[in-house]
Amino acid sequence: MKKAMLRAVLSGALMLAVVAPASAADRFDFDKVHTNIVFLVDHLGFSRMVGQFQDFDGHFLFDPDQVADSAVSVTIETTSVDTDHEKRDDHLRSPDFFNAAEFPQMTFRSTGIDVTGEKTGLITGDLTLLGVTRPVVLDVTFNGMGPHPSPQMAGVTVAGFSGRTTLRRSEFGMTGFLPGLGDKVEIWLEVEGHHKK
Amino acid sequence: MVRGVAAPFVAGLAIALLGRGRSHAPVWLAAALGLGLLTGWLWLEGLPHFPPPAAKAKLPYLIAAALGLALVGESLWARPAAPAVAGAGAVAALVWLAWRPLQAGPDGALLLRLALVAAGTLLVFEGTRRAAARDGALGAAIPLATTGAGLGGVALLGASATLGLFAGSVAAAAGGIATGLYAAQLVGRTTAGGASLAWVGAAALGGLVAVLALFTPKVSVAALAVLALGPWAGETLRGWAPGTGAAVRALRPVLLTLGCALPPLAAVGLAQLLEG
Repeated sequence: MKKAMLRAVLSGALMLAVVAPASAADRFDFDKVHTNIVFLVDHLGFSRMVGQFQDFDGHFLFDPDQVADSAVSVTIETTSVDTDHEKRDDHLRSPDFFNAAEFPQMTFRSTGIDVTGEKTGLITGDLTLLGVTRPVVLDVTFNGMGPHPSPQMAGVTVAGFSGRTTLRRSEFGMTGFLPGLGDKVEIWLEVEGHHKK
Repeated sequence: MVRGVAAPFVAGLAIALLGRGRSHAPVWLAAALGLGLLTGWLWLEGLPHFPPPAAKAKLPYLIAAALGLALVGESLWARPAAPAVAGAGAVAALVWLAWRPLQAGPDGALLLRLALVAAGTLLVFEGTRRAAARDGALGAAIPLATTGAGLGGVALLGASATLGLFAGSVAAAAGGIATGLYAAQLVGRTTAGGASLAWVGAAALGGLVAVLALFTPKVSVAALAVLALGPWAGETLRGWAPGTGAAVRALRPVLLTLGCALPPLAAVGLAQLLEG
C-alpha cells in the first residue's frame, strides 16, 4: 500500500516537472515614473488629441534568450485619463467614453509573441475595455536591458520597450462623437521595467 | 447629432397629426415616442450592442421593452394598479442597469441612489399619468417634453453629452407629439388617454436618470431630483384657465407647459451652480 502511494506521488511529481514550463524569464515590474501609456485620436480631421493614463500597474516576464516565452500584463485605471484639460477629462470619464464609474479598469494580457527581428516583435493579447474583450497586436521594439546605472538602484536590472498599436474604439462599444472624434485610436507605449535580484 | 433630435420630433408630430382624436391614438403615440427614441439612438449611437456590455447600452433595450408593454393597451396603464406595475418594472430595470456595481457589492450610497431614481421615476410616471387623465394625451406629452429638455441640460452640465443629446431626443419626440396634439386641439380634436405614453416616457427618462446618477460622477443628483417635480408643477398654473371654451383650449396647454418647465429650469440652474 505504502509502495503504491509512493509510486503515485513520484509519478505525479514527474508529470508536473514535465508539464511545467522551464522558463528562466525574469519578472519586471513597470517603473511607473518612466512608463507612459499614451493615446492619440483624430479631432475633426484638423489635429490629433493626445492623452495618457496616469495610474496603471503591470509587469512583464522577459528572457532575452527565449523571447517567445515572454508575457506582459497591464491594468490601467480609466479614471486616471489625462489630456491636460480638466473638463475634457471629466467628459472622457463619463459613459460617453471610458465609463470609468462602471468600468474602472481596462486590462491587457498577452497571449503570444512573434519575434520579427533582432529587436522587434509582435505581441498578441486580449484587451478588455468597457466590458468587451478583443485581440490586439502590439508592434514592439526592444530598446535594451542592463543594470541600472544609479547607485541607489544597485542590483536592479532595467529592460525597456516601445510599443505601438492602433485600434477601433467602436469595436469596444465606445461610440461617442463618431465620426467627429476619430474611431481609430493610436496607442504609444514607452515602458521601463525593473527586476530586482 | 441634429438628426438624433429632428427624427424623433418629426415622428412624434406626424403620428400625433395622423392619429388625432382616434380611439387608438394614445397607443400610437406611445409607439411614436418609443420608435422616435430608438431612431434617435440609432442616429446618436449607431446599432445597439448585443448583449449590451454597459448600462448605457441597455437603454435602447429598456425602451423597446417599455414600448412592448405599452402596446399591451392603454387600459393597463390607466388602471389604479398601474403605479404598482410601473414600480415593479422600475425596480427590475434598475437592478438590470446597476447589475455590475450590485455584483461588486452594493454599498449604502448606491442603494440610496437607486431608491431615489426609482422614486423619481414613479413620480414622473404618476404625475404624467394624472396629467393625461385630466388633459388627455397632450397633458402627458407636455411634462415629458419639458422634463426631457431639463434632463438634457443637467446631463450636458454633468459632462455627459451623448446622454444629454438622448434626453434631447426624449424632449423632441414628446415635443413633436405635443405640437401635433396642440394643433389638433385648437380645431377641437382632443385625444383622450395618454397613460401608455406616460409609461414609455417615464421609462426612458428613468433609465437615462439611472445611468447619469449611477455612472456619471460629475452630474448633480440634487438637480436630477428636482426634475421629478416637473409633471406635478404644471397642475398649479394649468388651474388658472378654468372652463372649456376655445380660448381655454388654447391657453391651458400653454400654462401647463410653463408650469411643467419651472422645475426643469430650476434643475438646470442648480446644476450650473453646483457643477457648471
